[in-house]
Amino acid sequence: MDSTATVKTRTVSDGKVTLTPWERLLKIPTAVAGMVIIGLICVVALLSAFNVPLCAFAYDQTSNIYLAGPSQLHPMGTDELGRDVLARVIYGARLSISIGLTTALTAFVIGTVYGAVSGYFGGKLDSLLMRGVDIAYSLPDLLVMILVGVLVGRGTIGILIALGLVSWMGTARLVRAQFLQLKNEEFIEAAYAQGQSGLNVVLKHLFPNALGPIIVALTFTVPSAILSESTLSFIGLGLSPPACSWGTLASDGWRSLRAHPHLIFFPSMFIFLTVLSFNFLGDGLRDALDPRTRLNKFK
Amino acid sequence: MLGLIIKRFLMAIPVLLIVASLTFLLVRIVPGGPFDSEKNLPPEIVANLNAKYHLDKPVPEQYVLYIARLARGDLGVSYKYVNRTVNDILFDALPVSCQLGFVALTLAVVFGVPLGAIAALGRGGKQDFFAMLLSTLGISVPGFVIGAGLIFIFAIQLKALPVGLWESPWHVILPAITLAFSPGAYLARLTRASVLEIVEKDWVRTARSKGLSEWDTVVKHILRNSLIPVVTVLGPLTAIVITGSFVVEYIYAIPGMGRFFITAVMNRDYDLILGTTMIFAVLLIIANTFVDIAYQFLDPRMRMED
Repeated sequence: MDSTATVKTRTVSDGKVTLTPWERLLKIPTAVAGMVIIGLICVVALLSAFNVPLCAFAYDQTSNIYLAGPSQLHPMGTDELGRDVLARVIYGARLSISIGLTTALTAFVIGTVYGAVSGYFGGKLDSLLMRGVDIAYSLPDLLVMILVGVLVGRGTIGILIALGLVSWMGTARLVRAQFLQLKNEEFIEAAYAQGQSGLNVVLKHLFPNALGPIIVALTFTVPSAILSESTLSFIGLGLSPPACSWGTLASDGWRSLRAHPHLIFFPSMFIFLTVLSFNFLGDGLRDALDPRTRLNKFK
Repeated sequence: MLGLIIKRFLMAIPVLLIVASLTFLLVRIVPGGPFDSEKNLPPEIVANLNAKYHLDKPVPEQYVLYIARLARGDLGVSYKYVNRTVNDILFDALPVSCQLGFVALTLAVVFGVPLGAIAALGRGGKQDFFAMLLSTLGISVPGFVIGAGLIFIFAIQLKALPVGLWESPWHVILPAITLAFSPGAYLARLTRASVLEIVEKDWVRTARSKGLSEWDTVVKHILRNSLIPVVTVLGPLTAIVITGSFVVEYIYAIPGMGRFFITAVMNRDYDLILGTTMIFAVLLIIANTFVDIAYQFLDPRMRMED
């Protein structure tokens, strides 16, 4: 994840010992906890994608235990068709996590290119491009996503397009600011003096040095995409069955909140836990990569 | 000052025109019309309905008719709510959403700002850790989870508060708390960052060294100055509250803008979608104009040259 260039420029003396950002990150308990939880959920989601039987009743469609509360047999209970909720939550993790990661990837590609063009060329083009970002940024995400959803449909692809459209602006702003700041540095001037081409300077010098803050921004994109998807699905404008994400599961559970609260409780808990972990990790990464923060005070 | 307000007002007109045109285009290119209901109306009746609402005309002509109507302040008629114009519906719904939004924003400021200040003043210590833990929890819980949780505890288990609809002040409590979470957490994080920047300023050290009490230093010198960026996020905050209102009004069955917007999208109720979007745009423009004006009051350095 860390390119060598980033490590070199970001490493600062922290007290007496010089720590790499990675070592600094490992000293933040919330960030480590976040990483562990994200790792576990990703592993489970991956295993389920290869049909590894993670619990005995995962794909049992013949069960006649309907709407049972949590028990030893079904740790999260069963739904109105007798399906095991734990199995559904594991299955939902696959979709929710991949939606989050895909959106981060989209934001990364669009945002980086847009921001790099804006920051590298500067001037009038920059002000024009940034005015566009300002306008797009000021619109409520969910409003835009619902309107885009009307156009592109409500399937997984539609959601991904809608999420991609609302999530790249932060990254674009950030990359542009980094580029503007970095392009006047001496080492960039030196690169040009060596006769390196503009593209080479962008790819080998500007981009690697801007990577730290980009990674932080992307870490925050994942949870906000998961939140948006689950919210859209919850209000009935996102995914709908047979698609199974944590959002659609919570939406199903909402209808029987009074009688069977376990149906909404478990998917909700996983949304919360995942989003929280990514936010902790993002905060941790930001502090670890920022030379101004002194971590030794955080004990 | 008056010049700025007039300028902003004039700038709002093309922005609204663009919003209206984009939304119009968006809803019209989508397959499916408001009368594609499951009831299978006879084709003659559908044709009549389409004729009545000008839906049989070519799209460019519909567009001209639509903009002309908008210019007169007429947002059209709802296709689903019989005999109600969009103006009627939104006239009833807007005050409900504004009340809810206002109470929620007040709650967010009352809890969020002190939380952020407490965190920053105890930087790196336990109070910072717990205040930031709380605000991270706040941005990590989806609105519908808070809503479902509050309904389950206070309405179903304790039977202490009513759930759903919009009748007495008691009905405001749960939705407002639900809606306040995410702007509150956002404000706490923002205030923390802002206070952290201010406490390192020279004039804060001067205030302390001239013997000012800690309370006076914090309230008069630190807080007052760190509130500038906080006031100026009213624009994003309005956007957060609008987003939140979709969920909260859906969960609590509140007859506000957010719920009508969602049902309008589900029903392809063209004019209601367009009308609600326009009102949202107007609200955002007002909020951002207010921010521009507030900037000038709060920080003379920000006065625009032009």
